Amino acid sequence: MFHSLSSLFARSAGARVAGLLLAGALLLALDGWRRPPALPAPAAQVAAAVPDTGLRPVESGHGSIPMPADTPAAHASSLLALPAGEPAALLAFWFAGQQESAPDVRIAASAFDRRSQKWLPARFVVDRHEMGAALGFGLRRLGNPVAWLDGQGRIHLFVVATGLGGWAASRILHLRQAGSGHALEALRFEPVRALPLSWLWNTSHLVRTAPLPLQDGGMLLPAYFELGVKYPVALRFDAQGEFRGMERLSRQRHLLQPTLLPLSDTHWFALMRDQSPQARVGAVETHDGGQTWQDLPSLALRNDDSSVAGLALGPGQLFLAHNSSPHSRAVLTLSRSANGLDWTALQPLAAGSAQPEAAGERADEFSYPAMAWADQALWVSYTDRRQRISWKRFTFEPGAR
Amino acid sequence: MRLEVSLPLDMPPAWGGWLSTQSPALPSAAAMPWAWHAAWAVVLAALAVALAARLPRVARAVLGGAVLLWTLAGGAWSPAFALGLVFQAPSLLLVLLCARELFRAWGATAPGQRPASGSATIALAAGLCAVLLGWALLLDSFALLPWPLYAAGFSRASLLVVLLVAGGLWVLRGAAAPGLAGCVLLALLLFVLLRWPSGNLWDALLDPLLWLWLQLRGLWWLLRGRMLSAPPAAPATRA
Repeated sequence: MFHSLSSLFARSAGARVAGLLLAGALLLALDGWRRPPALPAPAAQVAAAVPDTGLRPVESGHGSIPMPADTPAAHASSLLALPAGEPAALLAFWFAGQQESAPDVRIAASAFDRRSQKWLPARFVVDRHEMGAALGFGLRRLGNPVAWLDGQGRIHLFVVATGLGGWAASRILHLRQAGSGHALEALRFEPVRALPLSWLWNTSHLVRTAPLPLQDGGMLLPAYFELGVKYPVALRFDAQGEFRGMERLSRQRHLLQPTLLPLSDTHWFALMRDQSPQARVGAVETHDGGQTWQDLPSLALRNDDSSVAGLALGPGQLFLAHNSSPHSRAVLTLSRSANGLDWTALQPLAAGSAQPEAAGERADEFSYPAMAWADQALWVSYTDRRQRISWKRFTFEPGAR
Repeated sequence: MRLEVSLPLDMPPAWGGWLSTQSPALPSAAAMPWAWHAAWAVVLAALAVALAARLPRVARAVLGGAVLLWTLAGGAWSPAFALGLVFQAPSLLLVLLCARELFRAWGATAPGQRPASGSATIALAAGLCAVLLGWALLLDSFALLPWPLYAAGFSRASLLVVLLVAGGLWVLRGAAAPGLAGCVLLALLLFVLLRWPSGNLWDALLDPLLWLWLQLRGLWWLLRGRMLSAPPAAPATRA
């Protein structure tokens, strides 16, 4: 029969057209059947954690998160708030090893225990050799973990994994919690996939900042491209944590590491690190839930080519951690805004010397902040001199702003 | 002054979801590791056999089989492990083209047998489409296009367009062998069934290695044509 069909197709153009139409219709029908149902238009979950604009943040705790043994370097933390009733209020993830981009770098984690009000001893939760074996291809280096809790209580971890060529050859690995429960000692992750983001050997996309939760239970994961040019993107995930597409946030080619701040369910800002000489926070805006974005002039807020972290705690209650010192990361500042465009510096989170104290030493660096809301408090973590992850906690009290 | 540079990222739902890039079907995560190795095994085996074209057929078959097995079963020592680190996965089309060459080398047809003359034009047209698509995807990677072309590979509309183009070439082939157009149609079928390698249509049809090879092959074909059409040198005259 196959030979007869083949012979018929070879002889008759009409048969080929008919065959193509039939096969094409079947193929398109099968394709449509395999696809997941369309998602609703994205609408952000807008927090109401701090509704009163008369409240001011007051520091109520600080310290350093314990490091795994014999691990001198740490960077790029991410915070994940856990539901009330769990033993831990927060999980923190960061990358640690001998130094950034060292072959021994792994993803470390710790948990803030509600009962003892302390961070638990850290442990490594992601190793590039184990993940490579599970995925079937090698991973050269790991970095920049970002965590998210889906509607089923599973932790998803997005990690930068490099190919050949450093951070510019990065891919975003999507990992998902294996097993249930959020106990630190039992936390394990299994790989889902390298997110398909680029035709060019799927290279040069990275994550850094926290996801924006959506009303449909999914989220938007901020990410960026970093090979020569830099541009920000947002990746959409559904409530089950399945990747559903990507969108570019800006036509500018020097913006990266966006942090998403919702003013309302469809009016959002994305504030970004800017690698241009302007040394300000870059900004784009959407009024339709991310379906279209408008480039804005850079904010007046100073930030000299460094990662920022933002969190919306209520309508008109936007907070941003950024480096406000010129040409250095020696000062990390917490700022506040009601409209996303005009910001007021509240207080320094960390301050050090922009000049090295001795030859061969580095200047102080407090950078790559992360934020979360847990137990009625604003938590901020940040890289402390590339040696540890430090943290601060703020409660909100009435008083002069 | 506010700058307004709108980026329309998704079309209205009234277009029936055809243009939507937000409903991709992705490949099974569990199957991907072995599929990864199987794909590279076919590509590397075909490459090995092509490089050993001067060897006897039995030797080529053994060499191809050894490379296939090593890549499939080598684990972290498999070449697929390192190739995946750099290049991720080959496209379905590259795998099918390599599989076709392996079948030829292992005895279905004599190696180097030329297809019927009508299909050379079809192959040229298909190759040109692929090269242009690759350049567009490369520009898109660096955000040099006004619309997100790679993301369009997650849409149903892209599948329809490719089906029409490949199908048109297949219809036009006449009595010639299905050739490249047939491989593209088979790749589309496997993509719809398996969503391999990434759930994106462009990754299934054209990877950068195949794109580079097509351009090198085209360049070689042009140069060879020029050399063949150059007038012969005048014979030396006797003293």
